[in-house]
Order: sequence, then C-alpha cells, then structure tokens
Amino acid sequence: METLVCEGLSKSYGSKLALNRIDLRLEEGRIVGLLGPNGSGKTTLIKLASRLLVPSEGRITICGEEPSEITKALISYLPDRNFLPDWMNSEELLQMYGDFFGDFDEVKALEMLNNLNIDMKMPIKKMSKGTRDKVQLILTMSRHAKLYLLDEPIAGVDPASRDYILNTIINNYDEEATVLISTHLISDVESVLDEAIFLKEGEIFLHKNSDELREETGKSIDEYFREVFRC
Amino acid sequence: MLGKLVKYDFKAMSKIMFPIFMVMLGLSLVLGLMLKLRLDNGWVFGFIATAFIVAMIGSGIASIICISNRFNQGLLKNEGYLSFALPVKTGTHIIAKLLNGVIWSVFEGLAVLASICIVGMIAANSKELLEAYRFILKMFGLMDKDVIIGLLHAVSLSTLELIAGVCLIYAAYAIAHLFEKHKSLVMAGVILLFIVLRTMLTTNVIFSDAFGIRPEIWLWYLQSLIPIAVYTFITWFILDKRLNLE
Repeated sequence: METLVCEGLSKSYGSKLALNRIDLRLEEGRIVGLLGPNGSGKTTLIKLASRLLVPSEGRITICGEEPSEITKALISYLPDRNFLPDWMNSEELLQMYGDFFGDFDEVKALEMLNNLNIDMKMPIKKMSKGTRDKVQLILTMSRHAKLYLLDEPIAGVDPASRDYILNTIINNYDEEATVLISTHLISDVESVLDEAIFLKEGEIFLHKNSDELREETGKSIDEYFREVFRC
Repeated sequence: MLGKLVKYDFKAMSKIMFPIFMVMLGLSLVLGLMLKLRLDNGWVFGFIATAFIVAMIGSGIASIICISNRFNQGLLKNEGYLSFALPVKTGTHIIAKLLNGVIWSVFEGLAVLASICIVGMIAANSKELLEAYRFILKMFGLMDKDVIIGLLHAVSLSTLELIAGVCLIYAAYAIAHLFEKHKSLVMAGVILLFIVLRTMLTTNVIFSDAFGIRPEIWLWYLQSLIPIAVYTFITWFILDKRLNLE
C-alpha cells in the first residue's frame, strides 16, 4: 500500500518556487531518506504532508486521503525545532499525547523516558537541548503511526545522541509504517535507509532503492550526494 | 477535541494568571484588615493601597497580554507545529482559543470584583454590612420585568463585545503572520483600521442619525455579531489556507 503519494505537487512562496511538480510514491514498511542541501524543499514537502502548508498546485495524499485532521491522526511528525510547550513537563506531555493521539503508546514512552533518567516533573524550558530533543523524539516514536515524518532529527546534536536517535527510530517505528527522514547528514543515516530521494532545487533528482543506488554508482549514498551537490 | 484543547490552554493561562489573582486577593485582605484596624494612614497603608490598585489594573493588562500571547505562541510560533499536528480542525483551534479568552476575561472580572468585596467586607462593621445587604435586597425588589430584560441584554451585549474584542486581536495576529517584518506595527495598524471601519459603519448604518439610536435591539446584537463573524473568518482563512510557520 502507498503511504504517501505526490502528483504534480508544487509549492511557491510568493514568486519563489520551493517545490516544482513533484511526483512521488512511498510504499509502507520503508525507511526513506529525503536528502538535499538547505533550501532544496525537504521541509516544505514534509510540511505539505503534515498540512502545515497548502499546495500551490498538484495533489498530495496520505494513505489515500488528502491532508486533513484525519491524516494528522495517521502521521507522527517531528519538526526541525523545539515544538513542545516549554511550560509543560514530560508527565503532562505524555497525558497530552495520550489525550489527542489514539495510537500513542504511553507505556513505551514512559519506559524510554525512564531509561534516560529524565525527570518527569522537570519543565521543558529547564531541560538541556539534548534532553529536549530526546523527549521530542520519544513522543514522536511512541505513536503507532502510518507515516513518520522526521525533519532533520539529527541536526545539531552530538555524535552519541545521533546514535541514540537513530536507534530509537529503528527500534520503535511500526513495521507497516513508512519513515521519511529529512537530513543533509547522510553518512549518519545511510545505513538505515531503504530508499533515498535526492531533492535538488525543488525537484526530485533521483529516487532509488539504497542498495541499487550504491551498486549503480559504485559509491556510498553520502559520496554520491557530495558529487551531485558539489558547489 | 474542543474540550481537550480548552483544558490545555486553561492550564497554560492558569500558570500565569492564578499567581496574579492570588497577589491581588492577598493585597485586598491586607488592605481590608488595615482599614478595619484603623491603620489607614502612614506610608505602609499608602504603599499597600497603591499596590492593590496597580495589581487590579495590572491583572487586567496581564490577562489581555496572556490571552493574546496564548494565541500567538500556541498557533503561530514553534508550539504551532504541535498544535497543527494534532488531529483537530483549524476552526476548533480558534474556538478553543476564543473560549479560553472569554473564560479568563470573566475570571479576571470576578477576581477584581471579589477583591473589592473582600476589602469592603473586612473593613465594614456588622451594622454597615447589614445595611449594604438590605440595600441590595431593596434594589432587587425594585426591579420589574423590563429592568431585568434590559440587564440581561446588557450582559449579553457586553459578552458579545468581549468576544468581538478577542476575535479582533486574533485576526490582527493572523494578518500580521502574513508579513515577514514589522509584525507588531501591522497588528497595531490592523486593529486601528478595524476599529475605525466598525465605528464608521456603526455610526452611518446601524444608527439612524448622529443623535438617534434605533430602538431595535437586534441591531445592537448585529453590530457585535457581524464583526465577530468577519474577524473569525479572516483568522480561520489565514490559519487554514495561508499558514506558514517559520
């Protein structure tokens, strides 16, 4: 089954075209890397899927449905910034996620938070950036979603935290779900990717199976990415 | 979902507003006791009395800032990424914020009223309190059907005006969101523009002439309901179709 489908999808901000007639189909059970330099349209595509943006042209569907409150219940979205209310603590956030998302696994989230010895009563605003990032990721990955949209989950974190984040993603996503990871730090995520999408200036430069890409180019995805996007 | 949204907004507001209300009520207790014990001269009394008045005015300003800020932070800043990821319609978010704004405005009014009553009840002796009670009863006794209906209309229209005010702030935030720079200036301009437009329409259309007020009560309701509908539509349209969180 196709989890995410884009047909002639375009998005422009005023006169600036961020995505240009994208055609894309993502199957369930795949971990897909959305790869591209800054400004290539990665975040725009993820925001369109999350219905944080409305397309200028074309169509995007999630599990056959156009973005709406119905598809939001199917998507677990991790934005590229601190998005949790800073006046809340982890305990309140678990309750909030449980209240709004029927697929939220509170026991799993609690276990992960306890494993990291995170103080459940500590407000988000008092947490270090690293801890906050981990709480955000734990909440996102504790849902049994159909589509995980992870926007730059390892940007700006130390190497040890990167390993933790990637392991959390791999060990917690639903087997039948699709995981779309947007990043420009390819070497860190390459090993977990089933497919790679290269976004270049708002267009899909390539969309291939990771193994096929490595075989065809004789290079790692990271090496090939550097070649394609060399300045 | 609406109830859940209101619950979390209420919690967010209560973290700021309840301490302010507590300070105000605490000061009213102290002020009432000082009056009761005839300690009503000297700089300490002056300080407490001034602090009480500042707290009352400040709580009003704080509630307006908090109501505006909850909308801005919750929907148009980073927290908006979470809010708009929830499986909730845009309209439901707006109604939740509006309900929250109205609830806290009413709480603010009640807290100010309670503070003044506390001062009066502590400071007055039993004879004065009894007189006040009798006076209130007498006032209620004098009320006929027309006065009661008039009062109900006044309360309803005041509530609608309160809602219109909150909706105007939300619409101004939403319009300012469309601009990359000078958002505060845009907000101020939008609020001013809407107030001027509304005044012009109210004067020229709703009222019969500069001196005559039309007696039809529905016109009074209409002059509140139309702006509420316009402001809410603008807010909904921008948040639903033109949202671009950065």
